Amino acid sequence: MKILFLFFLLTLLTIPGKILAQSEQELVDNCVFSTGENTTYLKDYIIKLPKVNSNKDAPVYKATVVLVKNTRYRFTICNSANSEGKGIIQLYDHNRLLGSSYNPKTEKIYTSFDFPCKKTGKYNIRYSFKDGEKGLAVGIISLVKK
Amino acid sequence: MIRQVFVWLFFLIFFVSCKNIGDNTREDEFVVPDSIAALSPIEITEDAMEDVIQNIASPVEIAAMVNSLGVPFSQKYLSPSASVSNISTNFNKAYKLGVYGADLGYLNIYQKTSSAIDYITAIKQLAEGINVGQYIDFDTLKRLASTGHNIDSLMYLSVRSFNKMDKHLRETKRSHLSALIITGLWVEGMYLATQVAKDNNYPEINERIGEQKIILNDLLLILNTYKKDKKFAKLIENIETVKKEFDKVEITYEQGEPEMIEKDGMLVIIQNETSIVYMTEIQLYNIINKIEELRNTITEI
Repeated sequence: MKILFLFFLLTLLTIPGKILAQSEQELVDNCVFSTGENTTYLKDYIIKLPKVNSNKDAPVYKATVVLVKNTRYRFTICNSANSEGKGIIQLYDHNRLLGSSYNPKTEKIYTSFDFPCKKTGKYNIRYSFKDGEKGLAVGIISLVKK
Repeated sequence: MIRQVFVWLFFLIFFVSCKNIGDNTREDEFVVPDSIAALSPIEITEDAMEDVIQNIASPVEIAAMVNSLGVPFSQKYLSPSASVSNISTNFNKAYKLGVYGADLGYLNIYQKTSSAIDYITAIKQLAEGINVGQYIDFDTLKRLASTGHNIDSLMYLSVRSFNKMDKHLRETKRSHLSALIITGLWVEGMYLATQVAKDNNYPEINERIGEQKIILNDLLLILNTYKKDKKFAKLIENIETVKKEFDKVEITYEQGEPEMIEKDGMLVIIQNETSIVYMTEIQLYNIINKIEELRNTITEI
């Protein structure tokens, strides 16, 4: 009976990966539909980062995208219900910071920002969690219809 | 009683586990034909490849721009979807998958959902041909296209399907097929933009075409990774003829400091830097012709 119980537990341990994957997809779906009625989905990123160790830089998820001139983009981040950290989006033109969803002066974290692009080219997006907390979030890039 | 519950749980979990193992095995059994599988990337790493593939802008932006300018829908910009069963090689299946992906984006943007069903059917067939059919939720896509009510969901599921196929292909070391899908998307997107430019005079469309110079360099970087394969070599050769025309286009930048404002509760990043494209009418004319040639030639590879 003990062996059977152990087998039962071991098998259960193989299932969470699948359940987690489903919940991540649900998180993406929900986040996409929270971006607004006038948007068209383009890309999603699942951001899973560990807690920062002391004296080290906060972990960052980096992605590169091409953005097209005269197109208005919306960058959105949705935190998982279980996420300890609150997600932050930063948009860079190469290494130059264009803007962030976090305002350090007011300590306000926005869930999204719009970027009316005026220059076609490669842009870097950096996703992180405030204060280097461990977290799970979804980043969505969508196009805002004219 | 407890024992009985455990026995039932045991059988239930055993069944679920076996099902998963079966699915994985089927995936592992897939063999990539066309002698391409052996050509692992040699010039850039998989990570760099992923980065570059992500860099190729989606054709949705081009279709959305064409629509927003009031350009009427035209079936002539689309690739006919009827001949899918004649496509035999994985090379052509992957390329055509990209072509139809771009066409589907155009149809969705213009809300031509009844025509979209033919393209969804073709995409499903091609995706199954390269063993990524599981990422096309055919029934849902077809239902959404048939009702024609929920365009946003149709757009989302269509784009998401392509993103998932691309991710799966790269994860299973079949980036060459991803590269071909991206090539198909780019060529068909460019065909749409250049044909619209041929029939109309919209400076905005002309400028977007000229800017593709930036994207084309990235596309060639990916394709060159597989240049040892004859079909890829031929494809690169054809795209290089288009690149020669794009090389004549000049892009300059006007610098400016970015600003952040809050408008109606929404944070907005204002970019005060802009790009300016210098392209003569002759250069545009040559690009239009070369794209047309390229699109017709690739189908014969």
